[in-house]
Amino acid sequence: MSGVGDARQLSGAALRGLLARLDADGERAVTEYESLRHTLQQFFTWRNALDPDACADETLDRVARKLYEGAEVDRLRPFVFGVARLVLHEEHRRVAAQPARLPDGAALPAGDPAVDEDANVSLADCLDRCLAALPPGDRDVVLRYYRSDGRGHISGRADLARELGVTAEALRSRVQRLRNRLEACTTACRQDGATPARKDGPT
Amino acid sequence: MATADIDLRRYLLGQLSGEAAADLEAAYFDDDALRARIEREEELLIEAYLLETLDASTRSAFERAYRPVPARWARVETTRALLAAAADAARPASASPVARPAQAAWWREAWLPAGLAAAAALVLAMWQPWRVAPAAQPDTAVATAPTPDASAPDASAAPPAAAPAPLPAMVSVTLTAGLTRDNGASARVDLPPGGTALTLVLARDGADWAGRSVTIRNVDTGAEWQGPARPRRGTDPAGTAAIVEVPAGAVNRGDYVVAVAGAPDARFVLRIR
Repeated sequence: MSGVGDARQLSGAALRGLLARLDADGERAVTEYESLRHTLQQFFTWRNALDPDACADETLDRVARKLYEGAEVDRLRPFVFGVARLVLHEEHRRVAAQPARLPDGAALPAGDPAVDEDANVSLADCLDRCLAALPPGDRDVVLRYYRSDGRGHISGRADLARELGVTAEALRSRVQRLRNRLEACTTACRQDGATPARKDGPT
Repeated sequence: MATADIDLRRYLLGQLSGEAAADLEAAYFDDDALRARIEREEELLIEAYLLETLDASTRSAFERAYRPVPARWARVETTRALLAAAADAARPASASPVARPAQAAWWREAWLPAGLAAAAALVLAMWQPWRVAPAAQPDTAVATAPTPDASAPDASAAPPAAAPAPLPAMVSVTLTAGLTRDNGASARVDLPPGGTALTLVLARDGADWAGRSVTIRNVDTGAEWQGPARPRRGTDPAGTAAIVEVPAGAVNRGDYVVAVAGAPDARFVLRIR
């Protein structure tokens, strides 16, 4: 990743070692890896890292290399947390050492507001496209989840959960996964102008 | 020991001590359920912020914690966009004035010194007299009546007698301290063929609208329309709102910047389609 330590790619062997350490079963290991990576992303986001994804990957790379090099690790998650704190410390130091990104607004194209405006509208546009690309069932769940009564209250989530036959927390988790997909989709859409394919088939 | 929700919220707002935060982090690294509780708390916090149900001090703390951090503010913007999309989806197909809440340029404003702009609250409202319906914006929608002297609706386009009484379609955006001229707010409006007058209602805390002019510029063609902002004292004793009446044909389909002369931090994006 840029700016945090060594940007070496995680080797296949080191990755396999990390996965094996997470779980002997390959499928469960991948699930655990994703869960750990998600926790790292959240940690770095909540601790104000500029690029939480890159920091999470850097942490996992370092952990995998340590394991590959034979480090003695009693409990993996606390070990990962320790590495993450180190990565975060380095990230904060790196950012602090840089000049302010926009010290006085001079870097902004003040005379070219179209840049801002294009970006502003594109989130809504891209979200429309990305929502359209979701299977209809998922799209309906997301839109109903965020439906407000127009008076400052979001209601109906409990009803939606009951209708789907899941707990409120399971519904929230499902929506969060869909949100993550939408965020990835809108990010790609805004960066590349990529238009996801619409899905109108059954879920 | 179970962690109280209030501590989760304080963690998200950066109000826990370093030691307490580290303890919580060590705990949620080992406990996905605890991490999920924090995520739930964050979801509630962001929604409360967007729905403007946070008390003033929490709102201020939220903005201090989230605005300067692109990855965090992106979550706010995504939620804002989802709320708008959900509101759009819930709106009957026959009543389709599309009005979006702000899509703030967080990656710009995030790094701008807070002192660049005064605390400001800015509301952009659009009234479409030809086909009106509640915008159902969940976060900051403000009900207001059209001004008495606004352009008269086209009688031929009036809804049938049995239809609900028309209400103004509105979208509002709140800008607070730390926002700058590069903060954008976008709204959309569908203009019917043939051209229709458009009334913009602008409000800004502490603004003196007397003698102000507003420029509406097409960002693609550069074409501009300029007109006066008239203080709306009749319904706003504080004088913080103004009416801008845009005649039919002055603006067509496209993306526009609405700028207020002498108030570089008050700028909006308006998409007409």
